[in-house]
Amino acid sequence: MSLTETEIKESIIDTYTKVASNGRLVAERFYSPEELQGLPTSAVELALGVGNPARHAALQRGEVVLDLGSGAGIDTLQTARKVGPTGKAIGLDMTPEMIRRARANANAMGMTKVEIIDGPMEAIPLPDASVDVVISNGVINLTMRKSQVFREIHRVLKLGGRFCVADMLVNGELPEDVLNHPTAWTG
Amino acid sequence: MFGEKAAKGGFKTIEVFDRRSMTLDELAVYPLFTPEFLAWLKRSIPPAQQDRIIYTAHIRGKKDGHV
Repeated sequence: MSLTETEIKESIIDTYTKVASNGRLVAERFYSPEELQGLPTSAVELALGVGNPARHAALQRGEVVLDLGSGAGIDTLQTARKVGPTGKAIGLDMTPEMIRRARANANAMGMTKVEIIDGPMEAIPLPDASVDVVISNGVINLTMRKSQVFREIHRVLKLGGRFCVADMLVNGELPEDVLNHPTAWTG
Repeated sequence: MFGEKAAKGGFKTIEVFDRRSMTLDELAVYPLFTPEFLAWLKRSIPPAQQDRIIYTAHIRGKKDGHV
């Protein structure tokens, strides 16, 4: 029997609430030492992405950037440094524990132009045409409604705005019992 | 696939780059996956597919209009 959207969402929140650090293994794969320097240990050791979209988004000082599925904040904080004090980095997540960690990490860095908000990426709680750039790292694969997420990205972007996401994809067909395993949806 | 989803979302200018395969062994660095789940995954996916069934990529796009 197929998992429902609610079951998948509950499984994702449960998994990301309980996830433990695996050291710097993921962070060191995708970020340079310079990019990691000065970031809180909690943000670095809970990097769970599959790329480095903030590096490839050509971020400019003064831009407003939304990070979908911000987790403990590694990409949001890196973004905040790139856009500077005249810009703003907004992290969006639906897991209360990750929101708490990201806010704590932003506070630890003294970042005042970082906002971490609670909500689903399928219904982003931001006005139309309110951000310059949307980034996301290993998160859009978690939803069954990927087209809806891109509709929301399109809605919140200003005209001329851009997105850059890194994600994990499947090449071919996964066996049905793998597709219906909750862990296959949470990773 | 994400390129198609982005197009359905309204984007016309889309670029997929930095595409890399990810083996099941590489998934082990992520604490989201237990050793038991990864072992089960290896039993469930035919060996010939295990090193090419998952890949990562960056996708970039622009909302067309005046800057």
